[in-house]
Amino acid sequence: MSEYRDNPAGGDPIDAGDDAAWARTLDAVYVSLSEEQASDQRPLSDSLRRRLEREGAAALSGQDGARVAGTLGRSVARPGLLVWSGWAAAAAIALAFFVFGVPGKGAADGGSAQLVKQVDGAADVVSWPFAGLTDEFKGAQGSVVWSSGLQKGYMRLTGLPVNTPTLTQYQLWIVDPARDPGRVDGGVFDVAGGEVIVPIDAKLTVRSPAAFAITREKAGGVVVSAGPLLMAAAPK
Amino acid sequence: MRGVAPLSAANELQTGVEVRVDDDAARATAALSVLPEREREMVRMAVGYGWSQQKIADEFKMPIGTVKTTLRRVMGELRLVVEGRRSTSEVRA
Repeated sequence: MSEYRDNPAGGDPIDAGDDAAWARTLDAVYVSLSEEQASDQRPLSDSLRRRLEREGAAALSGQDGARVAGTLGRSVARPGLLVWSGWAAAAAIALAFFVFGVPGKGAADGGSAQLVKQVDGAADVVSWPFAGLTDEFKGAQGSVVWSSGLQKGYMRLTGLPVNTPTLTQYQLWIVDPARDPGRVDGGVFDVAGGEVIVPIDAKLTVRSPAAFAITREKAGGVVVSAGPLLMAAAPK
Repeated sequence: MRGVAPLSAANELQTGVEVRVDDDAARATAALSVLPEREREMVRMAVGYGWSQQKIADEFKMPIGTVKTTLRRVMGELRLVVEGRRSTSEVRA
């Protein structure tokens, strides 16, 4: 939804930022479309698939703003059921191509570098250190850099245990007491070792971030985390 | 970093909203099912992919104003249904 927030034309009717009711609607529509896509009831149209292919190729070559694979979609944890969001899943090409922020690419990635430069230069940028909250993550370090004005940010992380993306993924949560519920899904990401720079793609407008927290979830992420919190960043 | 309040807030992640999500999604599914395919596709692009209105307009080769108007109307309809203020049969396709 960040593109909508950024749309200079303004007046976007489906930006949830100003109204919790919109967020509820967006969540519901998102879940519905995800389930539909997961069951392949209505596969992607040829034109849409072709467009994803084109944009995926552009993303790989750094010609266009891309996004973390996980931010294209999310899984939805529901009672007894884990449903893949269809967006990246149904279009396998999307998962394959939208690789901005892939672990290991780090700051050398052109898209990452551009994001880092943009966020670092924001007037309202904040930078908070991450700390490990469990024994397994005591050695992990990093920071989150966020601009509420831009609604963009990134994490720079080192020392996180490598995950197996097909089984588990890390998920970022933005704690925002100004929202109800007081958290925003910040997307899922993978760690293949070394330092990773992970762009944040908040699914909803973040009004007043109080903390950023990382959990480990089933592949694709969840809507409601069962925890535990592995790392967290908040003002000192 | 060690602020208690933020981490307490973080723990609210673990409170469930699954039931409401289930109900809302069911209503959204019903409402989406009565929309014309093109409008469904526009919602899919906007909500699912987060595409800009301009990008959607390019995809459908239509004026951006038409995209804005359509999405505003359709999302408004979906919102009413999700909130239980309108039945699916009342959705104006």
